[in-house]
Amino acid sequence: MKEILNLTGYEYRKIFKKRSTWIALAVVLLWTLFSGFSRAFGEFYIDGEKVDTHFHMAKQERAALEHLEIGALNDEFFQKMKGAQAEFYQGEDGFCLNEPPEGGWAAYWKRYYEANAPFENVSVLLAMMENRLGSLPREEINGTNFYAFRERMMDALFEAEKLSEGEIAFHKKENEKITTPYAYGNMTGYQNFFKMQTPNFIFIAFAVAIVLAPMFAGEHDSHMDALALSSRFGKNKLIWAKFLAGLSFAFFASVGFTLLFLLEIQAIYGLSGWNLPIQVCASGFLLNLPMNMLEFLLVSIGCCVLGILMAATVVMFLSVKMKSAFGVIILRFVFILAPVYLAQLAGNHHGLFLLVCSLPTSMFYPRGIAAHQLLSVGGHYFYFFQWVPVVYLCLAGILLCWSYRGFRDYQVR
Amino acid sequence: MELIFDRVTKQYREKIAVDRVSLSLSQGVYGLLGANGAGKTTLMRMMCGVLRPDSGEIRYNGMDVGEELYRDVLGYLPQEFGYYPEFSAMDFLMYLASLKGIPRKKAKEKSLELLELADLSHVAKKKIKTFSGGMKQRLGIAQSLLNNPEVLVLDEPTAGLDPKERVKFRNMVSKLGNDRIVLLSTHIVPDVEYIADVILLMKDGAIIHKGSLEEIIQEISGKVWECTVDSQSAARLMGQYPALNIRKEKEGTSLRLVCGQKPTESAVQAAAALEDLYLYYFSETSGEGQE
Repeated sequence: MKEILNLTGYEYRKIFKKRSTWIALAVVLLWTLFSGFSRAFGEFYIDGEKVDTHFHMAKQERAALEHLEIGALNDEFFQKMKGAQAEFYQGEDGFCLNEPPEGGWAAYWKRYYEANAPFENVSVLLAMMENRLGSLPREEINGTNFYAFRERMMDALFEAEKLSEGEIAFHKKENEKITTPYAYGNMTGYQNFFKMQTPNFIFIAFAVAIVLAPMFAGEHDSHMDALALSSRFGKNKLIWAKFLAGLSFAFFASVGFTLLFLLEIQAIYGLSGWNLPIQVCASGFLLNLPMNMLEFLLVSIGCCVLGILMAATVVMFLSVKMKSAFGVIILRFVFILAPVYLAQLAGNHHGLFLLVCSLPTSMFYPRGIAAHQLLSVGGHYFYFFQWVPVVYLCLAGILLCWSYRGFRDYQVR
Repeated sequence: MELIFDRVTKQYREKIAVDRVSLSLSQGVYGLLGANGAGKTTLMRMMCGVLRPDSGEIRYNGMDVGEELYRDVLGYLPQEFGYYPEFSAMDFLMYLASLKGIPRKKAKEKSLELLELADLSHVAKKKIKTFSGGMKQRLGIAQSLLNNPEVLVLDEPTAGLDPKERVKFRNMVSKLGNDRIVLLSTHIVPDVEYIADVILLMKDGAIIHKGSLEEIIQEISGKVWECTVDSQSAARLMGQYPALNIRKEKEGTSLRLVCGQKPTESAVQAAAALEDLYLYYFSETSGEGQE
């Protein structure tokens, strides 16, 4: 083991002596910083007049949600919401003013946002509901029919997704486990995390592909293969060291950038609503998964890290098989991007959908890992985040064995 | 200490690179001489376990060359010496020492010793990408000695070395042959002539001769001729026989030829050298030469 760790250290040295590694990591770092802070940058305009900064709005919304008088989506909450909006919503068209108000837009906006900041998120949820149901009597929404409308929305969704009766029954059962009325509070941090999680991890996947592509192929490119394979540990411990270096790099890179992103999120939006049900944020509103924000955050991050580890395994496998780092990067990029498009095409075909959504990139989608399409085994149903890790474990084992044999038996010609 | 090749064969599509080679090597320096494409590198790669023979086997003291125990006693300088451009010479040797399973402390001592031997101590911390071809080659030789190998395989070790470095290298290898098997291949005939205890001549994948310098040049003893002829005759003779030396003189063209019979009336016999033998077998007109 000591020798493997020693060789792993050298593999890291090889990785960090490459300029491409630093460029790839710098790009991911910039993107991570940008994705966290970008929504707090810039200003908000109405009719060309600056009314607020995004940072101030985020701060205001966070403060409002963290100091709510009513911490649940119940009758009282909806009553209060209607009261706050009454002044600003006119008739059936909702919030509209055709003429600039007296005192200008900025003053008007200040009054509006002070009153409505705590309810902005619920308005988004109601809009989602309206979108799915076709119409929604918003003025009639209260702490009771909100849940009835949501159930109707979910039924419509299940129908659109062509779920089996078993799947629908399973989801209804899951829904019953969620305590109503939903606890409510500051979910903005989690919502922003889930929103940016997919692009963030796609960037990490790209970086991992660039960094790990030369892991084995680089030995051929640099003609080091003959020297390595003729040395004592070249056909055994060196290969383990490469696997260890590749997988640990992928792990530390994904966890490191995720922690950095979480720090940004905490700084701007806060993560205090950890025990709220995921249904109170847009990313979890269409799910019947009985989990709180923290649980779903951990499951999501776990799936993303697993997706990255699987991607790293595939990159190393390709690196053994293709003998050219450049070819590996090109092919891996195609693999990363393909599921983004394939998922839409495979939506109507259950088997194909399960296949596409189990690809590593699909694991970066929070809604993907808890999609309603389930795997049924012997009358038991499993979410993606439950069965895909098992498949990955088996697949990674096979690919690593295959890679091991591939490099060990490589013939230097 | 015995390395045995038993009917070792390797074929690439239509071409037989190594053709049923059977050999037995014990301690000493072996010079593998052959033209480009004779199969030298293929034979050496198989000997180092990085290329599998299609048939036959290579065993060292009874163990297969694919085994880790064999790799532990092997030192190898491939023809295309690979390196990591961003590594320093010291880092590179330390890395290869790790690959060879040498403990860190011993690896450091050995690396410093070999850098000194290869005259690279002053650039030990410089990146390999800044090295000249000769320096890289010296580093390659140094790495092959890291584990004090019992079997040392050097594929074209003197390529890129200047004459002074070549002499130094020859002296070093001569000493190494006392307690190990050293096999080196080269195009540079004097290198083999000076270092090798046993010379192996390889042609078309087969070992066509094996023996000491004296034994091997016996083959062409009496077949080396020197003559001075006019330019027209010189052109004819050069087309007909392998010419080792061609020199323009006042009286005509002076030639040193290798051929079975007296090439011209004026030709006189000369003492055979290894270079003559090489030419005899490997020049473009070798077929005629051997007839």
